[in-house]
Amino acid sequence: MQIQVNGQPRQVTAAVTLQQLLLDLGYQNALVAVAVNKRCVHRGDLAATTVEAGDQIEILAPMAGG
Amino acid sequence: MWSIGDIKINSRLLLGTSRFPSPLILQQSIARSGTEIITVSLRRESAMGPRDGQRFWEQIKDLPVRVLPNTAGCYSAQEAVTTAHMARDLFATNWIKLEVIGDDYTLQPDPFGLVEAAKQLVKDGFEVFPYTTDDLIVAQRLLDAGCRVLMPWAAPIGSGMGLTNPRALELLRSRFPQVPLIVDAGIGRPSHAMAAMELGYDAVLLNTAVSSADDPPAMAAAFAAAVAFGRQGFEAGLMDPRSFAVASTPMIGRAFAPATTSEDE
Repeated sequence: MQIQVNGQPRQVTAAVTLQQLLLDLGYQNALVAVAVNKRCVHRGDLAATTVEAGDQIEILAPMAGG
Repeated sequence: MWSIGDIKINSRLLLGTSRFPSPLILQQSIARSGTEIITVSLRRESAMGPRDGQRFWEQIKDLPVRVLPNTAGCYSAQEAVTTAHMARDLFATNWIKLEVIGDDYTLQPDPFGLVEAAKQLVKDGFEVFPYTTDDLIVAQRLLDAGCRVLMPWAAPIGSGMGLTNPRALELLRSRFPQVPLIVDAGIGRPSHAMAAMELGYDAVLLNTAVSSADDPPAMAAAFAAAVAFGRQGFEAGLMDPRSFAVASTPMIGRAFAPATTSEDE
């Protein structure tokens, strides 16, 4: 099924969890925060949240800011 | 000493971390500014990329400062609320510098989106630091929403123009004497920071004026001094300006005065 990750289309297997998706995408041990369809999914909920077709996923990391 | 909620803070200078020439210069600038609060942000990070975000966090996470994440780049209340929640997850703080931008050219805050997002985030347990204009009624609405600190602009972000409307800032100070007020954005020179502090503001937040200096750590030290001296002047009680001269040297007994008559004596 197709989803969007940080604005880019991605093909992923059905019923994958967000935690697994992060691993599959190469975010092992990365300090990131995740939102699905403009809603934050807290770190503790990543393993229990299943990705749906068409989901728009944002993966954000710390950055310098003013 | 001033405070935000239960948190006591000594330094009255908040420093942004963006656009420094190198991580080392950023660290040196933070140290010489004496700041206890630095602002940070969040951005998309590609999975297989260089992990810039991770590296940035490694550089600052052990510094003796609190981080104040911002919602820079958000153009709606909902984007800002989501970004704030992501920031809380990422930085493990309930502090959020709330930015909802309404205009690309001036980066002027959208007061309607700002108040809407502030209401939601206060409900969600955040300590909201709203980046706002100097409008009195918007400030009141933000306080009504539960904000315990206000951050009015001096001038547009990165413009370095200084206090473009000091009367409005002065009015906010006089109407909200108990609310921590931080001038955020538009400070270009140490004298601008000092002017804000002389108005009785609790602190100033700046970034570009330091990061774009030829010698950022030295400029950070200059701002630290300006902020401290401005505050000291405010606390000591500034004289009111007058439109006429008042001699500071006593006139009695001055040389070359007309001779006094015996009756005067």
